[in-house]
Amino acid sequence: MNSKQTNSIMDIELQNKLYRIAFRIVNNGPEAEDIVQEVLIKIWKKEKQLERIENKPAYYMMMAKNQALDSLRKKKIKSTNIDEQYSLKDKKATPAQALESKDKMNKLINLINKLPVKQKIVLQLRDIEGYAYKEVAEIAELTLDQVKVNLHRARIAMREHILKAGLRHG
Amino acid sequence: MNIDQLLDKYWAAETSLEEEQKLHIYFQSDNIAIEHQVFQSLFAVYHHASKVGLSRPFTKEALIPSRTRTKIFNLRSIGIAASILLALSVVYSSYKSNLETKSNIVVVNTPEEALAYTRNALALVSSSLEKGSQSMVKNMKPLRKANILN
Repeated sequence: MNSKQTNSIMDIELQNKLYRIAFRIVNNGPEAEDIVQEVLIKIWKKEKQLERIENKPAYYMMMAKNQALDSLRKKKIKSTNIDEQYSLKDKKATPAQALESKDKMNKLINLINKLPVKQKIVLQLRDIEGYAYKEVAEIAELTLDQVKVNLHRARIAMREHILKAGLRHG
Repeated sequence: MNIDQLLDKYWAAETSLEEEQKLHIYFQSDNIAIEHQVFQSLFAVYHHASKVGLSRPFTKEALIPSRTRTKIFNLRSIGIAASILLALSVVYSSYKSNLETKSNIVVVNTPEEALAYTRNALALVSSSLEKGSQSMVKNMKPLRKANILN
């Protein structure tokens, strides 16, 4: 789990985190990149005003989340091909095994993408980015209880889908 | 705590980050129990999803709006142009001044000519001084009226 934090908007890992939360919401790579650029420009313009923010990375993530939600509301964004976004290279697998593995991964990714937006956001922040509950609450603008409820629902939904579909790895 | 207990806590969203880390390590290992293998893909997807990123990171140049960059460039260009013009005008003034100085040089051939030119030059100076003193007298009147000097 990644717990390293940095305040600089030029940090690649921070930019990638912003991209991932945006992508999780809009499910479109180019749109997510545009969102990241808009957010970074806003942060650059408001540099002085943001000086008093204690946890800047969490604040930037919240900005990216909100920008993505705005984008989703305003536009009908077409989902991009999952293959373009996830490069799943298993060097040990045969081509047939790699294809099967990729197919299973794609099904799970689709399941995540179909979750309600609050559940998706919370799942992304906790299970993929490794944020503490307090930070998840701050970024998602939810209470701690709401975070746990949404996370519980998201994880149960994923478990049920996996058990029904009989998705086994390998 | 065994894996089943950890998983129960995990689904209920009651695990800590450290406990979730244990689950991640377990599901990336080669020792996954048969009854748990069904969930291996889930943790694998989370791991892969955490590696997704921008096709190309953003640089400062990409972020500063082109309008602002153009504005900054224009202001600098104006400053540089102004400095060059100022330098050129100083050089030109100096050059022109040298020309005038040279054109004011008079060549005299006899002592009488020299005396005549000298008297003219002194008259010019005297006239300037008188103008200056008249101007001074004129400017002193308001000060006398105000009783400052008396």
